[in-house]
Amino acid sequence: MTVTLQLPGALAPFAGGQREITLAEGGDATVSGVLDRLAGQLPILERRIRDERAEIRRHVNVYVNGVDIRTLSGAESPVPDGAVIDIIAAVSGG
Amino acid sequence: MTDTLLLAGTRKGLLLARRQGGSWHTEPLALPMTAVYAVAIDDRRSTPRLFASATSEHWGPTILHSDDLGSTWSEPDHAPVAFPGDVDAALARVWQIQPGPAGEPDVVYAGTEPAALFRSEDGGLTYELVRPLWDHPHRPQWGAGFGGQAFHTVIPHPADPRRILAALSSGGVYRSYDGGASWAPSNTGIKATFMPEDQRYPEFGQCVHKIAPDAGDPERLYLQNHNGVYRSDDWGGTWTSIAEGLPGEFGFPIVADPRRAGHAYLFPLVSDYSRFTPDYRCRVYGTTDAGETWAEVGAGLPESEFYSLVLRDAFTADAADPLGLYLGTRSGELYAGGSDGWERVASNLPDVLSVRAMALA
Repeated sequence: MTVTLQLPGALAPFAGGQREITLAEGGDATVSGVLDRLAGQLPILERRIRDERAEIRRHVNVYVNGVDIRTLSGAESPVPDGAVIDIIAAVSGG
Repeated sequence: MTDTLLLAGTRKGLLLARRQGGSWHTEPLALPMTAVYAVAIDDRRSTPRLFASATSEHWGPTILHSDDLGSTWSEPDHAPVAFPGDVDAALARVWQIQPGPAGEPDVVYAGTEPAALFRSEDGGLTYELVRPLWDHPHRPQWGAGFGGQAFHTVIPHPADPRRILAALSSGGVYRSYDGGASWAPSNTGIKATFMPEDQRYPEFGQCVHKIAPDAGDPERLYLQNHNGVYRSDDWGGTWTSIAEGLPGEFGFPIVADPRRAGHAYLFPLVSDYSRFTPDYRCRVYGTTDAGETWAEVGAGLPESEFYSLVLRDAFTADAADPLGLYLGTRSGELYAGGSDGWERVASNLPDVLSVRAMALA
């Protein structure tokens, strides 16, 4: 299965200038698992989304297919095949 | 006049300024939308390495470095400073980046929030937690000042690499004689005015704001406290007040001339409950006799209606002759000067958090 990660412009420099990344995932993927995969491929990007405890940073919003994962199961929210994960800077924090 | 490179970390980015032929030129703000609480210049290399700690409120903290005097900045893929997996903590901010002693050219220290000391042995690219201090039984009782829990001072002993002195707000002064393997508080004589009257000289817990080492005597240190200015002549073993003659005992930075013994500078504020300069005049005070006497330094700073202040790391000295002093204010002005007077280098900046300068050959 594949998952598409969509990034804000502020993070594009940490993804080779790309705003979109496609990741290959095994079955039964979760947000946490996708970000673990990202950590292996682009650690300089992943560490801007999560801290060293693998917790999603306080002022980062993550959506799976348009749904805020805080309303799902947080980092353990399931990620279906073909899902789009949006990484968005929260309105707070700036 | 000496050519100078000046780094000013602000709440929203990093400003580089260069003085060439007596004129200052500033560059566009680098690292925008990051709070640069610490900048450092490691001049132990043939080309000095510059450091900047940059914290994005959204995307977290990191340390960047530049090996081309600020033209470009880079960082490793991995987090330069990160708490290890078995420690339940996450880096919030790097308050201090301090190159090690001359004899250890690849050692660089970082002081962080949560309060911890990290050490790099690869020139400041990768840092490891100094666990003995993290595991110190006092640590759970360390507090935080208004600005956060700031591990702001690291002073490697210039002649003995086993000796390291550090300070945090709040927690006080700690020192190690064995390369960081063990640590003990060294706050004797430092007052904690925020404690009840009969508890004002605790073993630790003082709100030390900044410490600077004397140029001539490696055992001598100057300390700006949360109310109080002190000197130690035994590398922190005991502290004696040198506040007499100052218009206020409160303040944040203290800076020592890196070449002249007994010369130190600070930026006095009235008190902790009146964090303004005396008479609302922007004034640096200096001593040339290790704090026995103090006098205003130079003219050219705002004479009235100055309601700003200078934070703990926003004041520094170069190693030039004559000495150059540099300070940045919370209201976004950057000044350069000394006993011959002051000039404004930049204005309308975000709050200035950190300043370091280097005389260019």
